[in-house]
Amino acid sequence: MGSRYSRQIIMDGFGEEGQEKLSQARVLIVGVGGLGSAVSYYLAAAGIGSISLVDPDKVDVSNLNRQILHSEYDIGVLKIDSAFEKLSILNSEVALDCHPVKLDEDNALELCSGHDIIVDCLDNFASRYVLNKASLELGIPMFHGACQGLEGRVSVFVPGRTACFRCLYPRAPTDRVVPVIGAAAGVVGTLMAAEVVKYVVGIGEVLLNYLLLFDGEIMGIEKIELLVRTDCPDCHGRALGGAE
Amino acid sequence: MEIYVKFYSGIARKIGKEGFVIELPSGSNAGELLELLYDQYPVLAVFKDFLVVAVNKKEAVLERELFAGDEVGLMPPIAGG
Repeated sequence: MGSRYSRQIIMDGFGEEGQEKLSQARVLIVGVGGLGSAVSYYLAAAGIGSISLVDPDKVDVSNLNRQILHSEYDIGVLKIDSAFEKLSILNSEVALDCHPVKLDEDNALELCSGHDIIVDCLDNFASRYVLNKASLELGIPMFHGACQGLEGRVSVFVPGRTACFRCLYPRAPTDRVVPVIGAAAGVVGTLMAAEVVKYVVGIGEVLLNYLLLFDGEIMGIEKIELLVRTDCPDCHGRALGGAE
Repeated sequence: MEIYVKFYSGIARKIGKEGFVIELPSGSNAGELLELLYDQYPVLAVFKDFLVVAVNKKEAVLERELFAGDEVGLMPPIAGG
């Protein structure tokens, strides 16, 4: 029998040092829905030291096909309360901080401050643009994921090093309710959690300036190298040394 | 010159195929290819102005000149969570 984290500590390049890095990491997860369920479960299981959760919504029965943090008995309960209960049971060593608010331009900086990593588990473009600006202003890496139907996207935006979310999508269509197969949200959220662990520990190649495209309909995975846009209104091509 | 057009995700489903080869005049750029595709496939109109364009797996601006054998990938934004 090993210790709680022994199966990851024995991985090449991980070790006790890697576990210590995870235990020191402060991660903000914005959105505790389909993506946030998988991300928060795996990051709590991995031993991230501090996880903050942001979500204003209550659990609805229509969430249950994909938001595996929540159960039938949570219907009507704040998602962060449901999440707090499940994650506390999973790993009591993780410090959990919950915010039952909607991220907006007025509170984004305050919510993001004090974290080493922002994880974008949102479900709309408008809020992501707000989060992107906060990430850039505070210099905090933003781990992005999105899903629709059976497909998903993952990328990691590091201010000053990579393209930003606005570089990737300078304009976006109007937000709407989209179909999501629960398992696809799980795949994407799990990939996001893996990227966070890799980044914190310093193993493998993180999706820096790459967009991963997962297509579950054909089981295809591809990566596209992203373009840093000097005309980006948010980052102004900072990664290329552009003036802001 | 021949260019391979590859559709990702929702576009492939709307058009009913993942990609095809198209003949373009030498010197054409990615933006000109897109205009041609919008004319040929009206169902693409819903994605106009939002498409991410990649040439040979690298995101590209619309002014990017194309060369014979290039693969142009087109992907719409998605936002579900």
